[in-house]
Amino acid sequence: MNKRVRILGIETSCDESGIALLDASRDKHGTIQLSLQYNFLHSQIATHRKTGGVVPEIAAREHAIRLPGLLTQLEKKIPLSELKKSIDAIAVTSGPGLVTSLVTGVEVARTISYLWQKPLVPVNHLEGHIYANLLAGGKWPIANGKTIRGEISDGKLPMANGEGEKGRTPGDNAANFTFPLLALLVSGGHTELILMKRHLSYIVLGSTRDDAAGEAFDKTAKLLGLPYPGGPALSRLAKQGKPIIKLPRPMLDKKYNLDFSFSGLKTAAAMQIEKGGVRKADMAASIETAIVETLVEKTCRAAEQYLPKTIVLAGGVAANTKLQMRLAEALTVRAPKATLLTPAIEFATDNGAMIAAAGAVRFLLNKKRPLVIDPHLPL
Amino acid sequence: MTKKKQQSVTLPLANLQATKALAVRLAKLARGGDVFGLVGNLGAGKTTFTQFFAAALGVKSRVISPTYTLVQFHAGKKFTLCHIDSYRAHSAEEICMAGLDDALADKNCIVIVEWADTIAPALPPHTTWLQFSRQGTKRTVTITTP
Repeated sequence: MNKRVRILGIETSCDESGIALLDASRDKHGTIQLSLQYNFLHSQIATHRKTGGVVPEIAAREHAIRLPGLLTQLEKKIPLSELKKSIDAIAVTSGPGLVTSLVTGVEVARTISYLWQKPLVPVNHLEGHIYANLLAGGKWPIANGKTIRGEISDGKLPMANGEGEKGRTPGDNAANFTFPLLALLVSGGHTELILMKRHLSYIVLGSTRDDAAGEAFDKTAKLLGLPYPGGPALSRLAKQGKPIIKLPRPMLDKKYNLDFSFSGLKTAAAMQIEKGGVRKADMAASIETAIVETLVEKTCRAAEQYLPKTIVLAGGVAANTKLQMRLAEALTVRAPKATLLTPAIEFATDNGAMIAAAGAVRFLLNKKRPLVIDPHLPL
Repeated sequence: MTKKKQQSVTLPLANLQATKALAVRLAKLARGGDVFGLVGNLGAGKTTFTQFFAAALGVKSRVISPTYTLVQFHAGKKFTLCHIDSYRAHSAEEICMAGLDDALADKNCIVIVEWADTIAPALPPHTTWLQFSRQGTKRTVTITTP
């Protein structure tokens, strides 16, 4: 029997406020189809650029100011009464993230849930990133006919200061997860290789021992004197340089270990920059290459060990063009039977749609969890 | 009232083993309520020191850079280790909100703060300061005790 639900998604775990409305259905074969109706986002990048990073207190205050505004925008598309009638559940990020930011979103979700008597579906921010891959993206073919979902980014952050609307027509959301699934989750705070044998079930195969990949991008960018957010700025500069500087590829010597380490790379880069005599662009290209090659190699090794049918790239660093391309190239050779999914650029970084997506799957499969705000919530 | 003179000593850290040896010795001396303030540039060795320090306290969980989470608690054998990173913080209040106050009030907790200079006003007078420096591949640490 087909089951259809409509989910309101709310995301406030760090510095992006996101609201989305998503329809989802599950057919008799268990196939889940998602159709994003509306997606509104407010990014605080401009606010935090002044201070060179996210300031938790300011972030929380901004969420409190922006969330009602985003809801008003949604109300302009769908009248409140209709929204109240059609929504089946409210999905909200309960962690991990900055506790003050999380509280703001959860309180808004709780209020709506109480007023409208709709169930709350707490979503792990990290599973949101993985399920962002079920949202529509463009398709682009690569060698040997394999199709990748997603759009190659130009290194720019999506909707840097916009409150954009992304209405999608039903039918362009045919992506589906076939299990086992391997996810490379890379963001400012996370670097994890995750194995999923079924929906909403996660085995962490490897993670970082010190700095996250996104953190490595941001901190080396700071060493190069680049503006916040450092990752995209470093990638842009890297395009003008050549990866000619030798930097370590930590943890690649251990063949069966799927952990990462990026702090040594940061120190090595600092030493090279101090020594001087290198072009900034070459340094940026060398750093990006070192991080990307490490991520790609570990993902390939995990793919060879666990033979996944689907491989997904998730998290903010998934927007990195070089990572997408190198991973696609390498997997064509080393995991030719797997399908690689990459998120559409606007769903790679934090957003409400991905929370609605994961929430919809949780709601459809009846996998409820208690709502506990946990800044360190594990998968 | 005469101000007690702070004592300061600078040690070379020839290699990773030296950093480990220092961390182990300090961990053995550490008691609940102690605060360690780590100072030094990106890549100076603060997180590495903290990892050895935590291991010596019997922490089994993985100690990673808490830059994005600000505060991370780890259960040790006798004490809880509160690992704080002020890299992204811009005021002492912020870190207090994130859990520093609770950790300082807990007599069973040892607090270690990376980028401690940014929140110096929030740290108690009995804080032990470790200034990590790196010149090329040569590393030193200057320890200042109250």
